[in-house]
Amino acid sequence: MTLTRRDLLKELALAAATATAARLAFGDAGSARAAPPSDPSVSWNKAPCRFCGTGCHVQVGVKGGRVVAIQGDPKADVNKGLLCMKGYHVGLALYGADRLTRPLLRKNGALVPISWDEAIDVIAKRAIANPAGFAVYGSGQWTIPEGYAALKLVKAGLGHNQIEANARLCMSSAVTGFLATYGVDEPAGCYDDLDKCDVLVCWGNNPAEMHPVLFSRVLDRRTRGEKVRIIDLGTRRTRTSGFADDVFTLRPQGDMALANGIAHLLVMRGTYDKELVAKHCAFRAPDEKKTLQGKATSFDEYARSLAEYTPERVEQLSGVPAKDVRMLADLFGRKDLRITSLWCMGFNQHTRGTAINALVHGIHLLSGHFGKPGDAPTSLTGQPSACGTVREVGTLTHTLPGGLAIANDDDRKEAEHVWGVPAGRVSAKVGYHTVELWRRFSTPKDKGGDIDTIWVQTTNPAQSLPNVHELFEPSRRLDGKFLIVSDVYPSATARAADLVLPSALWVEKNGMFGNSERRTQQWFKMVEPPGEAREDVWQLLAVARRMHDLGFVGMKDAAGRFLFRVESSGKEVPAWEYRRFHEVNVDEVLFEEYRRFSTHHRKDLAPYSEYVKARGLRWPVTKQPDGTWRETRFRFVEGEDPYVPKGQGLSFYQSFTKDGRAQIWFHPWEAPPEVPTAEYPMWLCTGRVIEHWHTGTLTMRIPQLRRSMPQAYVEVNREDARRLGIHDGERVAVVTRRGRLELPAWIDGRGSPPPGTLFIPFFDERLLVNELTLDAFDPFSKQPDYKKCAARLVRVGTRKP
Amino acid sequence: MKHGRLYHIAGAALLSCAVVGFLTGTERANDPPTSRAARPEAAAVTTAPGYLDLRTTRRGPNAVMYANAIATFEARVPSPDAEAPPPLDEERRARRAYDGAPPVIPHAVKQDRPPDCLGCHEHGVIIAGRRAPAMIHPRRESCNQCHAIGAP
Repeated sequence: MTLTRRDLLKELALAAATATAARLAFGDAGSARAAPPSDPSVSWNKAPCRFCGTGCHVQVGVKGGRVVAIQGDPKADVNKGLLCMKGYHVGLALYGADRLTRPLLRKNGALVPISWDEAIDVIAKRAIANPAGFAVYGSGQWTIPEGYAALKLVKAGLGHNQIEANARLCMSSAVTGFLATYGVDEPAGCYDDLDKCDVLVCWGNNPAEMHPVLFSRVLDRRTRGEKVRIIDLGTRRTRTSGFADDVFTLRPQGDMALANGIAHLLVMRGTYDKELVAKHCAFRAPDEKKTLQGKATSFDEYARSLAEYTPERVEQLSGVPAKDVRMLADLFGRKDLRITSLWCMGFNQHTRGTAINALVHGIHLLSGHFGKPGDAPTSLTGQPSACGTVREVGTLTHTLPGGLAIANDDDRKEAEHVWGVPAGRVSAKVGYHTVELWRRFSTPKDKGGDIDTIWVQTTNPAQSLPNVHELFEPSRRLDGKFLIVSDVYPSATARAADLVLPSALWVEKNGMFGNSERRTQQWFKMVEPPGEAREDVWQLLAVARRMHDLGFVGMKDAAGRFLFRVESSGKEVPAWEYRRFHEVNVDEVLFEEYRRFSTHHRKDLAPYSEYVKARGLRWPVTKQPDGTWRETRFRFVEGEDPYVPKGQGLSFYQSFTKDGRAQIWFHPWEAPPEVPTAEYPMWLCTGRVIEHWHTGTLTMRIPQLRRSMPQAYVEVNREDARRLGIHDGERVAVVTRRGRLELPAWIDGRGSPPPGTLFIPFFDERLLVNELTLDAFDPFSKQPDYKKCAARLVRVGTRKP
Repeated sequence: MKHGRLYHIAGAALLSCAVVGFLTGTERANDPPTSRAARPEAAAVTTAPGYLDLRTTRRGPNAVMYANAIATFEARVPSPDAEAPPPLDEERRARRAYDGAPPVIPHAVKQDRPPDCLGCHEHGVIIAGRRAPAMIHPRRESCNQCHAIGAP
C-alpha cells in the first residue's frame, strides 16, 4: 500500500477526530463496546425459547455444567437472531434460589421429603385404587413427547379420557374456529406473511408486548422504508397502539359487530372476491342444536343475516365510528393490498370465541385476502407448544393424536392399532373439560365430585384457572382429594399440593415444541437438573411401570408387553429405572410412534433425525423423490402444499363437507354474559406484560425481569381516577361478584384503558386477579372469558397493605 | 545558456527543499507526540477550554469564589451521590445478565408510548457528565422489547 503525505495527514486527522468523538460519546467506554472475546470453553447448542408460542430459536451457551449465556439464533427463520427480553434471560429461569430438588409428600399438614420410589408408589396406588377418578392436567408447556406419554398413559393405560391441558384456557376457541371453517386445526399461513403484508390488523392483540419478535419483524420493515399500515383494534390502548397508524377502541364484544359490519359492506358493495367464494367456499350459520358444524345456508341468506350490521349499527355496538367501519371495509375490498390479521387471547378468551374466530377467517375468505403471501388470518398462541403438544398430540379429553377424535369409531380403532392395545380399550366416553374437571375436583364425592386425584404437570392452575375461589381452593379443604404436582419451583399450585415431584426444566432434558406456525422444533439436554429433579417423561413412564408391576392390566398391550416398551437394537431397555433412562433417547422413541398418527389429517411429521438438523420444520413435512424432507409454508395453496391437486389453486382438502370448500360463517352479535351494572359499573380485563410469562413462576425468578416489573397493578383511566379521587400509585380495591383484590392504581401506565375499564395483569401470585374473573365459557370450545366481567373500583384510603 | 543554468540551480534548490520538507514532515508525523511537560515553552500557552469543561469548570477572576463550598458543605451533609461512580467494567457487568445480554435501562422511562430512546442512544451522547452509550446494533425502534427497566 502506498501512502502519500496528504493521505497520511488526512488519516491522522481522522483518527484524532474519531478518538475525540468517541470520547465525547462514550467517555472512556469506547473499548468496552468491542465485542467480547469468544470464550472457547463455552459450548453452544440450539433450543427453542422456553416461553411464548412464537418459537424463537436461541443458542444456549454452557460452561462448567451451567447455562451462562443466550444468543438469538441467526440461523432461525422465526427470529433471525433477535429475541425479546424474556428470551435473552431464559437461561436464568433455571437458577432461581428455590428450585424443587426432592419429592415432597404432605404429612400432618406439612410437605416432607420422601424418596422417588415412595412418590411413584403413592401415585400408582392411587391410580389403581380408582382409575376413573384419576385425571392428568398438563399444558402447552409439555414437550411433544411428554404430552404424548401422558395422553397414552390415560387413554391407552387408564382406559378413559380424563386428560386436559391449560391450553383449554388459552386457545381452544382458536381450534374450534379453525375446525368450523377449514375442517382441520391450525393456521394456513405462517410468519412469512409478516414480511409481505401491506396492512397488519391486530384484533384485540398486543403483539408489541406478547409476541414482540413477530411485531418488530414488521416494525423493522418500516424502519427500512417499507410501508406497512398497522391497525390496532382493542379494548384498551397498549404498547402496540403506540406504533399503530390507526387505533380503534372497541367496546367489549364489539369485535363481533365489527366483523359482521365489514362482511356486510363487502357483500353489499360487491367488493368481495367472487371467484374465490364461488369456487372454494360455502356458507354456514348456527343451528338449533348448537353443533360446531352448524347448518348450511346460501349466499343470499348470509347476505340477509348481515343486513342489520350497517356501519351506524356497528358504531352503536362496537364504538368504532361508522366512517372507520367503512374505511376497514374499503381496505379489505382492495385487491392490490396484502392484509394479515393477528389475534390471540382477545378472541380466544371470549364467551363467543369460536364465533369471532370463524367470523374473521370468514372476512379473509370473503375478501380473497387468503392464500397469498401476506394475505392471512393468523391466530397466535401463548405457550411454546400449545400447538405442538395440546393441539397436535391432542392432550384434551375429546381428542387423539394427529387430529383424530374420540367421538369417531374409526379414529379410536386406529389409536388402538398404533398402540397395540385390545379393541375397546380406548373409551368412547368424553370426559370433563378443564373448568368442569376442576369443579368436580372441588366438589365433595357425594355431591357429584367424582374426580379425586389430579396429576398436574408443567402448569399452575391455582393461579391460572378463572374464579379460583370456586374451582381450586375448595379441593384443598375436602377429604379424599389428592393433588399431585410436577413442577420446578414452589408455585401456588405446588405449595397447595399433597405430593410434589421436582422436575427437570427446558435444557435440563431433551424436548420438542411446536410453535404457532406449525413448526416442530427439537433440542437436546445440555445441563443436569438440580438435586433429584427428573424429567416429566420419566415420571410418567415410572408410574406406568409401577402400575404394570402392581398388576394393572391397562399398562400392558394386547401381547402382554409393557405399554411404553423402549427398545435399543431389538432389546428392551428398562427406561423406567432412572439410572438407565438415558441409555436410549426416549423422546425419539415416543416421537417416532406419535408420528404414525400425523398423516391422517395431513399433518405429516418428518423423522426425529430431521428435526435435529433443522431450526424447526413446518408441517406437513413430506418426503421428496430425492429423499429429502420438504416443509410447507402456506397450506391449502397449490405449489406450496403438496396435498393440493394440480390446477386447483386452492383446496380445502380437509373440509368437513368433503367437497374441498371452506365455510364462511355468520354469527350474530351477542351481549357478554356479565355486563356492568349500577353496583359493578366497570369492565375488568386481564392479560400479560412483556416481562412476565404466564403465571410468572419462571420470570419472577429472573432478576432483570422481576426488577423491571415487580408487582401487579390495576390500570385506571385518568377520568375515572379523577372522578373517584384516586392518585397514581394509590392502593385501591377492585371488587367483582366473586372476590375483592387490593392493589396499586396506575394511571396512564403501560396501557391506558378507556373510561369505565380496568386492566390487571395475572402474573403476580400475591395479587391474584383470578380470584375476580368470571368462569363463563364458550359453548363450543369450553374456554372461559378472562377478558371481561363487571367490577367496582373502590378507594381504600391511606391504609397500608 | 546562462539563464538555463540559473533555472537548473533554482530547480535543484526547490527540489532539495521539497525533499527535506517531505522527510521532516513525515518524521514529525511519525514521532510519538511529545508531552506538554517535556516542552517547557508550551507551559506558557493557555489551552482553550473544551465545551465540556465549560459546563463544569469556573473560569476568570471569580473562579475561586465558591472554591471548596461544595466540599465543606458535603462534610456536614453528605451528598446522596457522593460515592464515586463505579468503574466502567463493573457498571457494565451490573447491567447485563451475562456478556452479550441486552443491558437493562438504568433510568426511568415513560411506558405509555413508544420509547424515544433513539434521541440519545442512536449516536450516543454525554449530558451533564452522564453517558448515554450509542446502540451497537442496527437501528431498531421497539427498544423495550429487549431492554428491561433496571432502575428502581
